[in-house]
Amino acid sequence: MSARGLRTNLTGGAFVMPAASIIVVFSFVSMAVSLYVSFHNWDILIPVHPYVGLGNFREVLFGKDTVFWIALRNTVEYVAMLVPAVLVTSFILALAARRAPFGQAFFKTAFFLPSITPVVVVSLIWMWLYSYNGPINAGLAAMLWPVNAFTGIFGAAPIRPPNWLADPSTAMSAIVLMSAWQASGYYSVIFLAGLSDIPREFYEAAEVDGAGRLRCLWHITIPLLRNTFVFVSVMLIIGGFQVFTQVYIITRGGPAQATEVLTSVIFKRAFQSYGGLGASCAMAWLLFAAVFVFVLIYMRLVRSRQIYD
Amino acid sequence: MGPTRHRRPARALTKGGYTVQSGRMRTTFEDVVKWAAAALVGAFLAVGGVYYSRGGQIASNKTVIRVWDWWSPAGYKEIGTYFNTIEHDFEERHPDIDIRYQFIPFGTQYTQKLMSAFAAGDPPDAFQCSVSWARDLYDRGIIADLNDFVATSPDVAMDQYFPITREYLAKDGRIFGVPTSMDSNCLILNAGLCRKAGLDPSPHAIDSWETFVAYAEKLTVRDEGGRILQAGFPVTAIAERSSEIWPWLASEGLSFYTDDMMSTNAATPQGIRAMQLLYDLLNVYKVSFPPGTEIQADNLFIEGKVGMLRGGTWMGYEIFQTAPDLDFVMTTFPPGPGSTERGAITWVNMMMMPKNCRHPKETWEYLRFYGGLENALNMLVILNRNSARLDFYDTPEWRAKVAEHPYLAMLPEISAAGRVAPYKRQQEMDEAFVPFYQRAVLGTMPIEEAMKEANARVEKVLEGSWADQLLREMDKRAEAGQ
Repeated sequence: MSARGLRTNLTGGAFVMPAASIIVVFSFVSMAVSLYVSFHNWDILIPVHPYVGLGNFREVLFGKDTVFWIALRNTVEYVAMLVPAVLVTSFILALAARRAPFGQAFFKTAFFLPSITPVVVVSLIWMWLYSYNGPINAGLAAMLWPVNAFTGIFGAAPIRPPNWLADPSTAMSAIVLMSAWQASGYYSVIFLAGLSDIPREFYEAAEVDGAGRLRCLWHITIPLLRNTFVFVSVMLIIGGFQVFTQVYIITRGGPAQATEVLTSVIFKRAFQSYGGLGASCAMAWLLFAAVFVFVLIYMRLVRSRQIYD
Repeated sequence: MGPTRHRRPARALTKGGYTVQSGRMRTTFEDVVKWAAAALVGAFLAVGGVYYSRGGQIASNKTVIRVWDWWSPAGYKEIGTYFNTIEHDFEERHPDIDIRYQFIPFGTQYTQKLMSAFAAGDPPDAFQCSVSWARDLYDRGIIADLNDFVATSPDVAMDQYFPITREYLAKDGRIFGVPTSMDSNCLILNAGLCRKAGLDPSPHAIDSWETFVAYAEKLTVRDEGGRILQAGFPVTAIAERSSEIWPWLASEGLSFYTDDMMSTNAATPQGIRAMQLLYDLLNVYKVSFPPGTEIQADNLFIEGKVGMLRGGTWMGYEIFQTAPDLDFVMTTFPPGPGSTERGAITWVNMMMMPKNCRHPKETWEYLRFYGGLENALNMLVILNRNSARLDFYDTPEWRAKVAEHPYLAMLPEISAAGRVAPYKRQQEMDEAFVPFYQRAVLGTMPIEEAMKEANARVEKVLEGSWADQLLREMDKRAEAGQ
């Protein structure tokens, strides 16, 4: 390498160094430390950290009272509900914003706003919306009123709206609904970008051939947005497995562990118990493995065949 | 007028593919300001660094004592007044000591910051510690034994405080804390609502669980659709802690933990009765708001939407701050079917000193002042808080305050009736217990089964982790070495 080339590389390297060192220290070194900790019994306040090999992993996976499996089931349930909900909603929002005859910028901004609102704030607002005597149930009660009035004639007990966050059977769905509401706007912008990449000629040719809007949607828009769908779903799967804030703020994993997710268990094990840091790190690595495998399988199944370039 | 602001146009050179700005430039006023600012920042950092490295003793010869607390002036300005008073009075007597407060919100934030500070070897010199964490921190060998200090300061000796405080402040005769205030879980009645419902709000009028249920039913107000507008007694179903059941167990004559602290009394007949009462209040008598994570029973009580509340003796101050006209009574919980004595839960939080405290002698002086009678009276006058000190209740200040706020008269009785709070491994115990409490109170699991399962989980927590075994081993080795 010539002196000039070397100097150029060094200059480039120097510019990259600050960002790279932050990533190395706060991502890779931390990951390495957490892997090391996962093989040890670790109490932040005790200077001795006995090596236990795979003991923490064994305890997390096969311990008698482990909540790992409950949390994994809940997390998968959350992801399974969130991904289709956001995909469908954000896609519909993108189509609506694109076809809006006026005020497109307004709609885009309005859709995007929830995603830039802090999750804590959104969670607190939705807690109020979901409260038993809150606005959602007030609306439901108003809709149920004619039914209850009718069935009341025959002495039937009135149908009451659910207690969203206090009922183990509805709490997770309530959190998913809130998360989907918040995420849809952001992903609709990504879909909008994808939509604008589809050549106009395809639709014109289809129209000439007599295709209607639904046919165009099914045979042009959706296939050509395949890459966007894959990208959005992968991001949602990764984000979904890492859900924490809304659960921590709204339900703290309750009621009766119905919304206990992996990250909340990791947090509690690390910071709300003495000596649980090793097991917590083991759980974090198991979460990483779960996400990795899940995404790998998903990518294999739906990998793009490069329909057009 | 400074130097001219005009610059000679710089010459652009293309060198090795990069465009480089070059040319002779004169020093402008802006440059001077920039360099001066940079020099100022550098000097500030240098002075700050030296100041910090010397433990904050550069400006004067004073010893700086760093104190952490979660009582924060951000909440109520009177708390600021309280700390200013301590600082003023203490520093007046100890002109060589400078007290510096740092306020951190209670709960996980406080414990995380505390643990990080200990792990980094830089804890505060003194800190307020909740009874929920104190014993576990002491067991980890990071808290200073105060016996030698206490031996030289009879004014803060253990016999100066309520006997129950010994349970929390010492282990095997080793003292590790100085009490801050005396806290109890108690029953609070909205006297105005009671009178409106034709009920006697005097402290001992509710003399059994049956009377309590009758009161709760009469104090519950519903609209035409059956929606509860005013709750007789709110039951926190989506609780984060096990504390909902504690006072009811106390009114059955039991603490939450067994005496050996290796199990709970939740699965005993008394525990199951207490749990059944909570279930019935919520689901059968329907005297509580429907379960909800957003329900803040304390706030609803202050708003006058709750007839009776499982509250705390510390709440009087908050009530006077937010609803000065609210007429309320604090009392003990009525005896349950298996007991003849009234119940409450009583504990003390404490000031602690880390083992590696930088200035133990000076810090002890602060702890001693904090736990003394003078400060207890400060706390009473400014914050309406009662003390764990026995001599406190014989002072004219206390009598004057009781005359001003009659609810305070019950506090000594509540404190004396208090059973022990579960102070060992409390956070982990709650994590294990609460899911089954929620199942029981929501009716998704039979109460007896839920309590047995909860008890089994808690027993496992109380057995101790690898760390406890290791600490026991280290203690044994240390004893053998001695």
